[in-house]
Amino acid sequence: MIALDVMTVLLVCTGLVFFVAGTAGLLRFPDFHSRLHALTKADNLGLGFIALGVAFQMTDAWSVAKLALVWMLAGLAAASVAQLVARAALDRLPDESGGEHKG
Amino acid sequence: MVVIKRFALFFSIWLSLTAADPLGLVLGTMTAGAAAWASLKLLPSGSRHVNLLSVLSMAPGFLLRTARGGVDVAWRALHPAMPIAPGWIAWRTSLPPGGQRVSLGIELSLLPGTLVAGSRGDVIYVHCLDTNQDVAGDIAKEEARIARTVQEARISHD
Amino acid sequence: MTEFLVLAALALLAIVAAGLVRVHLGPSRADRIISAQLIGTGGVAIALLLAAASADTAIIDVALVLALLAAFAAVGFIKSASRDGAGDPEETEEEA
Repeated sequence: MIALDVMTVLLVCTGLVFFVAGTAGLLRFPDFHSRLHALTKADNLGLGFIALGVAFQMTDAWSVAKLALVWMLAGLAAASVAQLVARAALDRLPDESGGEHKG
Repeated sequence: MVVIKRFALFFSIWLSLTAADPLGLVLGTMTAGAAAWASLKLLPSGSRHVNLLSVLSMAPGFLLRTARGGVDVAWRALHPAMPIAPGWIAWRTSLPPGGQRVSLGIELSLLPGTLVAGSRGDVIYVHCLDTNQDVAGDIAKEEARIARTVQEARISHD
Repeated sequence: MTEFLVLAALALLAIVAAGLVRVHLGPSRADRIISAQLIGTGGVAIALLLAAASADTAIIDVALVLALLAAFAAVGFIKSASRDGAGDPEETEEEA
């Protein structure tokens, strides 16, 4: 039991670090799209670690499956929403503002 | 075949939501059937053949890249000097429109330092967190990997 | 263990609250909506921690609903941000 608790503490603390990083990025990064990087990547990883940590406290397999489902849904939603918000936030596509790079 | 696959997917979601409570099985079968029908209406399977095994074999790498992306941006956000150089890349993709481009978009949005923000024609617009890195090389690698996975799935189907 | 989980949930609440500063600062509406997304992800994590702390797995269902609602909120914003149906940007690009 103690080993399970140790795993939970370690994983939840790691998750918290990523949430701190997500908030730090949201507050510190200079432009909207950089902030979006911080939110979608750091926070989803944080949620993954916390869900995994919580899974070590569950007593039945179905709850663990449901935790996995929560994380997958949240991750999938965040990844696709991030792309759409990123697109919606662009008034003009970047090449119109003269920022074209090679491709 | 596609109907059965989708039904199985929705039914397994139902099972994990209800902890396989026998009281809910009848309702769950009906709901999963309706969901499979609706999903086929909204997203017809078309000619794409996605092999479940090849998708599953991608999962560990997918998780690893997600983790790398998170660690990278977390490190940059917490670093006192905040080492970022944000900028844009207009990338001309060789992948056909549809599922493959969508997977490229999702993959790039998870990888370290890149985020897709729309497309025009064959050009997709990628926001980079650090333009000092070889972002174009990373995108090319990712594109080749997706094309290869689709090709393998096709061969194993024929 | 319960104490640790509740403390972690409180810490997370504080982290999410700090993110709300960006809702106040903006400057764009998109900045504000993604800060609100933080409440979605953070709220899901808080609900999961409380589910373990109270040993009540029903709270996991709350987390699930919160995750879905957060996604719908963002989609609502995207739809409202553009009148011409560019709420589905990829599709309009291909038609053009």
